[in-house]
Amino acid sequence: MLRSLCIVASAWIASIPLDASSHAGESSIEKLLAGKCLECHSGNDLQGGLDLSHRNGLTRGSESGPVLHPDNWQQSLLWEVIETERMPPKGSLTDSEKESLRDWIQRGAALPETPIDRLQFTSSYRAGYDWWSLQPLHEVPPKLNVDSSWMATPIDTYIENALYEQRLTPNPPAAPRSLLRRVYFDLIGLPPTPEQLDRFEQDPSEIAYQAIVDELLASPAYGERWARHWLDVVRFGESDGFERNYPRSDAWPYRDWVIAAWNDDMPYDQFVRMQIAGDLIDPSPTGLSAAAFMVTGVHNTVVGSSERMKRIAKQDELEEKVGTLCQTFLGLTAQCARCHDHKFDPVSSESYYQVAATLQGIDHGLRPIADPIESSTESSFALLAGRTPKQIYTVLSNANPGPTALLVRGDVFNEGQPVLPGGILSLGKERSDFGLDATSSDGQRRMALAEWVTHVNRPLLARVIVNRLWHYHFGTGLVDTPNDFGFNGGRPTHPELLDYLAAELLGNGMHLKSIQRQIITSSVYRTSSTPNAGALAIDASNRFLWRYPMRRLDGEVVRDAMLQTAGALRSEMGGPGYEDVRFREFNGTTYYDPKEIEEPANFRRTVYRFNPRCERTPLLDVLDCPDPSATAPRRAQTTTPLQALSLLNNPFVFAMSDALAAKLTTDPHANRDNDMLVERMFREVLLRFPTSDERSPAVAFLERHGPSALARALFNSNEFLVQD
Amino acid sequence: MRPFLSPTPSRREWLSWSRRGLGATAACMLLARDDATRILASDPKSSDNSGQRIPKAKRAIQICLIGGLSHLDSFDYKPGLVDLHGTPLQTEEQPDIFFGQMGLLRKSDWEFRQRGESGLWVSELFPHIAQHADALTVVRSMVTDSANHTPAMFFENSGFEFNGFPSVGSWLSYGLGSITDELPAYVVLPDGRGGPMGGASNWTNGFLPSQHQGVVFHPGPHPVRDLTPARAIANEEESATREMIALLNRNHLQQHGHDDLLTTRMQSYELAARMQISVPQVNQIDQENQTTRDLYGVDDPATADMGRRCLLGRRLLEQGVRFVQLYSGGPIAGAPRSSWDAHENVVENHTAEALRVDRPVAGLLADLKARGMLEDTLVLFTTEFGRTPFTQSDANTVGAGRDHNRYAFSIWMAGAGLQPGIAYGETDTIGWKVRENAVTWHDLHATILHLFGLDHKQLVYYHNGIDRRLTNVHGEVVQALIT
Repeated sequence: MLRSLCIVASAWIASIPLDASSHAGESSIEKLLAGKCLECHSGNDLQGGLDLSHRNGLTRGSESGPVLHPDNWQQSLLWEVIETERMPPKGSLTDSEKESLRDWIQRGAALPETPIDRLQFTSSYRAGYDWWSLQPLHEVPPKLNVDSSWMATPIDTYIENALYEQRLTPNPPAAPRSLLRRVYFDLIGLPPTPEQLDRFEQDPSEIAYQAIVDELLASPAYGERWARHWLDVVRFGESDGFERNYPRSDAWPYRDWVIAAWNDDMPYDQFVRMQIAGDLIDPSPTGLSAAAFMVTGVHNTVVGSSERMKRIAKQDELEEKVGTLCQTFLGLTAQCARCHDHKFDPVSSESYYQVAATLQGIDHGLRPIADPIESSTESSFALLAGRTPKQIYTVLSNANPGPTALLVRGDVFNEGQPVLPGGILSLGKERSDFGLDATSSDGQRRMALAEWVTHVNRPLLARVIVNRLWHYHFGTGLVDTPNDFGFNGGRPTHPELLDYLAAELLGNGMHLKSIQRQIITSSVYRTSSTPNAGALAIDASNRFLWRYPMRRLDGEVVRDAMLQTAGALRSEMGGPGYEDVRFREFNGTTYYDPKEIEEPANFRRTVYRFNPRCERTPLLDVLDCPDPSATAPRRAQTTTPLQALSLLNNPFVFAMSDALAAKLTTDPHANRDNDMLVERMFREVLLRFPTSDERSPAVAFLERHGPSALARALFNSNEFLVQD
Repeated sequence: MRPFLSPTPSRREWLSWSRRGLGATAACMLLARDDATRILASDPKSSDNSGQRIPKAKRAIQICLIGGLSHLDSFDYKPGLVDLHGTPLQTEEQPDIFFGQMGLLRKSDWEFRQRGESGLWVSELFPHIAQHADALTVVRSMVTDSANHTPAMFFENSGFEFNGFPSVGSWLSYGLGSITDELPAYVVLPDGRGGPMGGASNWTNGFLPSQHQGVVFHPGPHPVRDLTPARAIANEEESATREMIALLNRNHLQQHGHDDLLTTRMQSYELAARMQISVPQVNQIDQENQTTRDLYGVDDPATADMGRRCLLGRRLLEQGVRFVQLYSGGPIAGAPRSSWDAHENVVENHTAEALRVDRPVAGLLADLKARGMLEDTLVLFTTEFGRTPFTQSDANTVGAGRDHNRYAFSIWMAGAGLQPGIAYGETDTIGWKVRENAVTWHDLHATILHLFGLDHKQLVYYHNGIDRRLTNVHGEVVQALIT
């Protein structure tokens, strides 16, 4: 027996070609090696010079010589380091894993000729090619629950089945007032007027509701609301950041383009393509504006004289761009593969540098608009501001970006193998090859990239965006990490629903409004938010959505709602942003000092705020508007004393309180009776009449302190600031 | 594998963390509804398992010198540089400095002396701080990755060279919460000449929830934005307004049913009212007696700006602020410079800058000691990098200025849990590069967290694909600095 084993081993060492079947059945070994050994013993940066990913590597051995023994497997270095537990250095092997490796070595340590791709295997510590989010859609037709108390839309059947399994019953429908505020805030970011609520309360029928949803989806304010979400994700800021932090006064066309794209219900894949390569697809102001996505992030204009600092600054920016691109569109945190293969997801370092190569030919800068009229594809974009810009802060395209090398361990002076512009291998090897060489232009590279992002894995592309829609409608996504569908991200709470929505999107020409219409008209969206002790005991965090999740309004919505309620909201869309800061250049740094008082010219929707980096604005800041330094796929919701102080004391809140008071008292038809004034003010702010125990204290308060003081109190109430 | 449910902690989880000593004491400030918090439980396999988990530090104050303090002229005594004065640096490499001009080597312009019982070398640049040498823990072997101010400062503050990562103070606020409900956990006091380059990015909460960001206290009667109404409001109206809001909220709560969001918002108004009292109180440094004022140099125009801020810093710490950050130096460029960035003339620049801070910082140390606060207060005196032993000038001249040096610089710490009166690490003969025991910002950050009883590998927050740490994937606690 021993003899025959030795023959097998030496036969193998002699590299007698083995047919494929001779290592058939070794896939569990490959998986084990991939998980425990190949992180250090494969690829570009071999530890100890040993490559365990393929036959020749193993035969070649390590820096300290052969790792297999020609005659006695027990004396092989490979077995010795395993047996003595010197390897793997971190995280020990289980007994059965050790046993498998021993048996495998004993059998002759067969390995395939082509290197094992260690990233392909999903295990308990990382995601492989078979990771759920990379798979084709798994379409399970909605199952109707006969006992359902809901008018089950397809969405509801998925939700209800999950609730049923948890022995949860959904809350009853929300009252019309809650529902109408909800749908207004969600779709256009503004509250309904008392008159709009009256109409809905008089006719809260299904037909009326659907008509309101359609009307809001068609409203220009819809784009203003949803563009703001998108601007969070793409970390849109209007100054460079870092030391000089120069303002970008011509960056607003990108924001306008996003608003117009949402309003136009642009097919999502086109929306993506235009942001990656709009300047190439349509070299008009529209396309140039769209492509600014690539340069909305920070940019260091002070990099020092040394070669090292220059290279690091360049690589840091590339990482930021690759990361934002892949997280935004594909839910992949590819930036983690800059220094080594991704520790958790199937993104190799090579893949990272392939994508980086597609972006290395772009630069930040201004492009003049020669003839503002010429474009043929102008949509509502040009109309947004009523004019086209003279110049646009956008991507500059380099005709010859040059070659790219993989940087070993991310070290800018340690160039490894050359790589060509391409995609991420794990999403499809063929598609990851763009067929471009190192002499290709930036234009060729980004056109190929745009094609790749939108076609390499359509299910993933669709899952990521429908999850974002769900996230903004319910406060939490079906996957609660909207930028990360990888191993470290959340798992879908309702995988079948996610795939259903993705399939719907792919089937409808990628129009987002239609998905939103489905969500908004579902029953789950229309449940009340009231607590229920029984349900809370089972699902306190409401992950199964037995109730509508109540939350505080976003910072921008708070400001916009005050403006509208006070009758002060200016309606002009687009164009350069309003400035609530003063620029001051001092000793090489640009300061953005908050203005004490905002002038009425600033009373536009908050999406039009000029949005510099390195300075925060008092009111919006405490209401969790994110720092535009990094992609913000979701916002924290905090409640702090500083927030209360800003809502009470900020000059803007006083200005709005005065404006509301003036609106209600200067109306010639208004009844000057204080009781009526209180009533009207409650109606304007809270969309209801005062209750019997509120009425007389409120009238007394108003008589003593005036209508502006009452408006200030109402603007600070939970009822105004919360969406229930 | 993690179950599919979200990592979002419920309020109950927050409270259970408090019980384990990791959570915030002011849980009601922390209604983090969409909060991917994961402070991991103690891991027995963690490398940082020395058993020392009893925190020595409860609070910290950091004096952040902007521009790059010359270690060669302050805390790193290099007699070897005297011998080589006026000679060129013998090197083949192209050093990674900012402007790239390499003049001849220049000895220090300040006299160095051994101080106190410890015999620590400190130059005459800081005569007052030198008197506290026996309380200082000097690290002479700091290294950093960038010789460019803003990335280097971001690195010093957050462990990353990029905008948008949470700062040390934010991590401490997140990991430990506030000591008091009535003041922010993290307060920033910028130089009177202007904020640093990078502005609020230096004290940003980054992706941590917004209550962890540094709150700037401005000089003058209105230290915190929006602390008081933007217009004069009679007390009676103000309290009636609070009552009106409370009435509306009570009614709404009753009508809607209990929800943490609603009740926490109600509490936040009560805390806000208390903050309106505590902030002006803590800000009243005029209440301090003349001896204390003199100790900090509050009434001397030369030291008034830093003196007031150091004194205010002590008062803030006393009242329960977790982390106070003071800047020495404003924006980086301009002439004359308003920071430590002595490219043109070290003697002129450092003399002027040191004059502003030496006495106030020494006063702070003395005051903390006298009040018994140095036991559990960590004092940090840091800068983003050092300066070159050769001058920034033509190749054959000994110029007056020095360029940035990322290969070696000095910082010091004092107080809670530190080994006092020591100098750790060593640079080469001329102070150009670290020769022994290099300490990175990640190491220093790990050590700071350790002094607070936090394991830098366990204090994490999920963000875009990764459990982020202050120390990225690096950092070793420097045990030699700790008692």
